[in-house]
Amino acid sequence: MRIGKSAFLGAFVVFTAWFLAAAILQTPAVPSPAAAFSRLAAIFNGSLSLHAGASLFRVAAGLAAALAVGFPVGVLMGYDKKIDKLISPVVYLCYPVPKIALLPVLMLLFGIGEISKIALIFLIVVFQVIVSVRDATCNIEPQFFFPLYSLGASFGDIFREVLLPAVLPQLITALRLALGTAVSVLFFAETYGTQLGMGYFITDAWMRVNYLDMYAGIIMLALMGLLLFALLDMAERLACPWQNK
Amino acid sequence: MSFYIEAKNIVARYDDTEVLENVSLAAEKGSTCAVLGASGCGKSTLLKIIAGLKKATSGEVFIAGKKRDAKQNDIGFMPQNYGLLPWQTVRDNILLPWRIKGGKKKPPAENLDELIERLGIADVVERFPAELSGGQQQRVALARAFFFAPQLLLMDEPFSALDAITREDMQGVFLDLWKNRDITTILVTHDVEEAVVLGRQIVIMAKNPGRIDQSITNPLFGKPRDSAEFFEFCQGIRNRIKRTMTNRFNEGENLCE
Repeated sequence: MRIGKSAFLGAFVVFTAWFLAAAILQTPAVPSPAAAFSRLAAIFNGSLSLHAGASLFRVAAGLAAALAVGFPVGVLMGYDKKIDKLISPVVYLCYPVPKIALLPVLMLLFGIGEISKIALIFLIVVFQVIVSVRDATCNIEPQFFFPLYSLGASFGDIFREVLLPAVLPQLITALRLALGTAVSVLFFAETYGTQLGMGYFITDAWMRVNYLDMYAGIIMLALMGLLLFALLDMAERLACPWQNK
Repeated sequence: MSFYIEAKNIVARYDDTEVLENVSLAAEKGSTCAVLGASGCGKSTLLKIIAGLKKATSGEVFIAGKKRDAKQNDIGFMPQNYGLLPWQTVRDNILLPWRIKGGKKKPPAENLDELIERLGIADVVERFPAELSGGQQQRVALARAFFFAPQLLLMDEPFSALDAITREDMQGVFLDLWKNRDITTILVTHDVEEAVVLGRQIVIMAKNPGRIDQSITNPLFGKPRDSAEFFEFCQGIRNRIKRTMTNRFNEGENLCE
């Protein structure tokens, strides 16, 4: 998914549809895009940027923690069949559990503050990272390892020369997929026990029947997603220059 | 006569199938040995055991009189599809063995630029393997093998992925590089002509279970491939291989003269 000309075309289609809907329905529940954007501009510096920053921090911290744990675990599982046999039942058991159902447990364990929200994102993303990295590692052609094995390469050599670069593209894809889920679940988590975050902001605006604020928040959330996806695309281009050649 | 490379009494049994039955093979320093056989005769397994990529059920491999040790020895292995890493540029691929073993040896006197110039891949050194043709990838694999100058070079069906004309071309490139460096090479192939062109010694394998049928010192090594003699010799070897294949239907017959 590359952001370029087609992204602008996509945005154009969305905004045209929104504009037409607002014009036809004539209700405060669907304000025009122009009104929503001018509200966004008006409140961004006041409070919205703080809410967006808090949400971005939670997503980034959750993703970072999931990478830090999921990447090494996935590589080891893919590289060593014994480790895979040991860990994969645990992963398969935990993966399909809807993590959002664990939110009350997380709140009991970690309190209602930041840590329970970051832990929730971590739990959602980490299994996707483990499974994709494991599969990517398994699928590395054995012949890539042969010249290194015959030279008596250490695990460090093998990790640096083969495992890490071979897995990177799939890792980034896994993060892309996980990102959407993470943001939508974060939205839910932010409706409890916090007064900061996009989830809080949008739900609060909704309760106050302040539709313009609510739409500004939704646009902000969409822009955050766009930013995160663009960052991942950039990371892929920089880290995987052999792709798309 | 002492051999530089010796594989002694290699037995390989996987899941109750005997892949190799007591195979011994030896090569002198600076020579080439072509292991020839039909598919399923265990020649690839033999090569992987010599390389240390697979464990033999029993038997040992010696290099320069000592047991093979991947850390101590420098063994270059060229897999069937060149084994170039897609995420590294041609230059990084060529330097791969040096990054792993560099501390122990000094680079050969001839510099890298000269070698890649000679192989005609100077224009592509900063590209990725996927951007290269099969012939170019093969040249890069040869550059990697010869720039490192291992004690032992192992090649698994080295030129089998190439079209016939490029393959003959590459065999010439290999011999040219080899003549200047005397790198002890064992290669595995199912192509009779390739074995006769590249192998100073030719080892014919039979299958079920995999074993050595005959080992010949190749009288035509280094000679042109377009002579009647060459054609006749290849035909003789081909017939020999066919006989090893029918052998499994009449077990009792002893083929070894």
